[in-house]
Amino acid sequence: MTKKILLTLLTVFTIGGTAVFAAGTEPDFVEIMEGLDMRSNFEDIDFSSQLTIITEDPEDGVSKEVTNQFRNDNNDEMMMITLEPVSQKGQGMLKVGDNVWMYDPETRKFTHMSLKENYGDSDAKMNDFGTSSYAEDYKVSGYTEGKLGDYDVWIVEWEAVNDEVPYPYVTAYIDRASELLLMTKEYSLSKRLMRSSYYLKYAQINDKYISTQMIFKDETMENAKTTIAISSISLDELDDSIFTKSYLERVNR
Amino acid sequence: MEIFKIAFRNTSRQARRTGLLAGAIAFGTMIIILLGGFTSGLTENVKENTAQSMAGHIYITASEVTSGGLEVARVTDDSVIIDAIDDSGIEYISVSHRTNFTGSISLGSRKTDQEIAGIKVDEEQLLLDSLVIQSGSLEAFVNDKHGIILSEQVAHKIRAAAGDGILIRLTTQTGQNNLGEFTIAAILPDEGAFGSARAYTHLEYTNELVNMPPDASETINITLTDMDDTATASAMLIAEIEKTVEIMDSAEQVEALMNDDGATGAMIDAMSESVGIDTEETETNTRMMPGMSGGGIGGMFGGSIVRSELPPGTVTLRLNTIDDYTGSISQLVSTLNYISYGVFAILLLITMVGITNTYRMMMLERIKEIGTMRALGVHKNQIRNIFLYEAGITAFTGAAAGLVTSAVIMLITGLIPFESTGNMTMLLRSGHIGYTVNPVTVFSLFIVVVLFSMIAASNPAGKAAKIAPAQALRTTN
Repeated sequence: MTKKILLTLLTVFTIGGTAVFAAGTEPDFVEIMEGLDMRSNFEDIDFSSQLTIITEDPEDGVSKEVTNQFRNDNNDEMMMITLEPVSQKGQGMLKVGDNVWMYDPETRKFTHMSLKENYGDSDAKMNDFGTSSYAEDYKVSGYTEGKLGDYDVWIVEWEAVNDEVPYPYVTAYIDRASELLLMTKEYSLSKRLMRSSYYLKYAQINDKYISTQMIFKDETMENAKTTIAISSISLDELDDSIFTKSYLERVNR
Repeated sequence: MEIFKIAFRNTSRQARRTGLLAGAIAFGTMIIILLGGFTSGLTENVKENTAQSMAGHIYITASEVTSGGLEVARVTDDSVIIDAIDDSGIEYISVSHRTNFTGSISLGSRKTDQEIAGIKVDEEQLLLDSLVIQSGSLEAFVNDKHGIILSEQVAHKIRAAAGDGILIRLTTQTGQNNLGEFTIAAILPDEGAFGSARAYTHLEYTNELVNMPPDASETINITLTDMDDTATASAMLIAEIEKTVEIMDSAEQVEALMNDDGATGAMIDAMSESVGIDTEETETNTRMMPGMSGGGIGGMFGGSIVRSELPPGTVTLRLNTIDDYTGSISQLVSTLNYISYGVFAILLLITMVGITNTYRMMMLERIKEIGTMRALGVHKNQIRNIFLYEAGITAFTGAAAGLVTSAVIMLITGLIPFESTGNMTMLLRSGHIGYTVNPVTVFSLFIVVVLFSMIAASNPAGKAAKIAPAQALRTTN
């Protein structure tokens, strides 16, 4: 009888101890999210690159756009100027804080837009190109461990803490080794899968990481996706005048 | 009376000349009646079609400032408005709640953007009765919370048929992505650009998708018994709302205003000037009515999100009328009316010159006759009246002929069915040109024509009256 009690106590302590140990090793997802934001935001330094955006649409076919991107994350500013196709050359997007303006050189007019809107006809949102704020916008509602290809990942459920982010629910696949985002599945308010985002390659710049190859797949439409490749990355200082409407008008003269 | 008979008989003495004169008058009259009837009909058709499309003549919207500081269009508590409608004494047929949104409809790999109105079935019987269903059924729509009514164009674009399941991608009021699942309950026949703007869903499910409370709506629309009472009814409604809600000027808007119950901050922004009378104020007022440029009320969702300076919880009411949206048409109609009046004035002037010359010639031709009549004791005034009556009779006959001709033309052209494509549908009355002739205008026109013709003839008539009988009888021609 005493043996039985001792065995039971041992079992309870063993299970309890394992649980306590497991709880102790639970990853700090808030820290991981802050890390994701910190490593992709260039707060103390200017950033510029060239984006090649290939959009595949079942109705409109394949289109390619080449765009120069300039970022001043410290002031939450971003400028994108289209280089190709020739018919859209000079079109621009200026972001200052929450305000986004699109510029059409043909009409010479600016249109105010929302960060939540798609960039042109692509499946990428305006805010896919700028600074990230996962830690501020989402809380973790659950996680599991799993594999994504050869990578060991945390599959983390994010739930928006405000009603202003484009996707209220996100499943993030985070590489356990590098703590980089490999894939997200983004859901609507009605919890329908709307978009899958794949971050295929990263470039390391000092302590920062920028995804240089991304795929955004529209899950509501068959065969609709956008591939974005980032090249010609530079951390050279940028003139403040770049982040103005007049700059967009000037480059189109 | 005898003088009038002589004048009447004289009109047929030179039938060809009188006919030409009357013809010119008839042509002018016909032009003015046709143009006037056409432009009035145009205005009426546009207003009626707009009223049907937008479900009413008066539209009340409210914007609420969310806890996050975003300004969203929603009427959450409609009690102030509903009470005001009932107490104002306005005569109305129905009050309906609607939530409009723009969504991307997709089926398989096909998609198209569409403005959609979320409606309450029990409030929109007039609309539902007016719909011509090409396939599917209204019953299927009424019984299915996820049902949607689409136009043929949209269904064709995504290769969908009644009964098919479709997805609609949209954004909530605060810009979050959402996806709705719908079943096509009914398809409406092709009605051109106007028709393509028609798509209806259930308000309850629409609110769920745009993240709005189930009982809320984007607008409250009032269909009046008589569309012509729109301005008066708006003024009455505003006066009634003013009794319970304080009017604030823009400088005071930063201070939220509490209702009697203290629960809802509410204010009316410049409503008293918004009855569509003052153009400038109307323009100011329409700035907050979402989506007009996109066709119909709506389009707020999926558009830019407005961040407000006002404190969270502040509610701003706004009132618009159908006149705000048909203002450009009214301007066009006014321009057309001015053109028609200009053409008429020129025609009248030419006719008057013709009448003066004709009657001067007639006076010379009848100089011996005038002398004889004067010698037989006919008074000067009677001689003048013969000429004046003659001109009046000719003008009246011409105007009457113009009225008859224009009526025939209106009848014939009104029977021609026009293909309802594009924005033309908005201008037509059930696929036909609709004329609206105002009897007062026609009566005024007759008086103007007769009066001016008599004025034109007055100079030769006066000269004829002054001719001395002896001198007239001596004249050789």
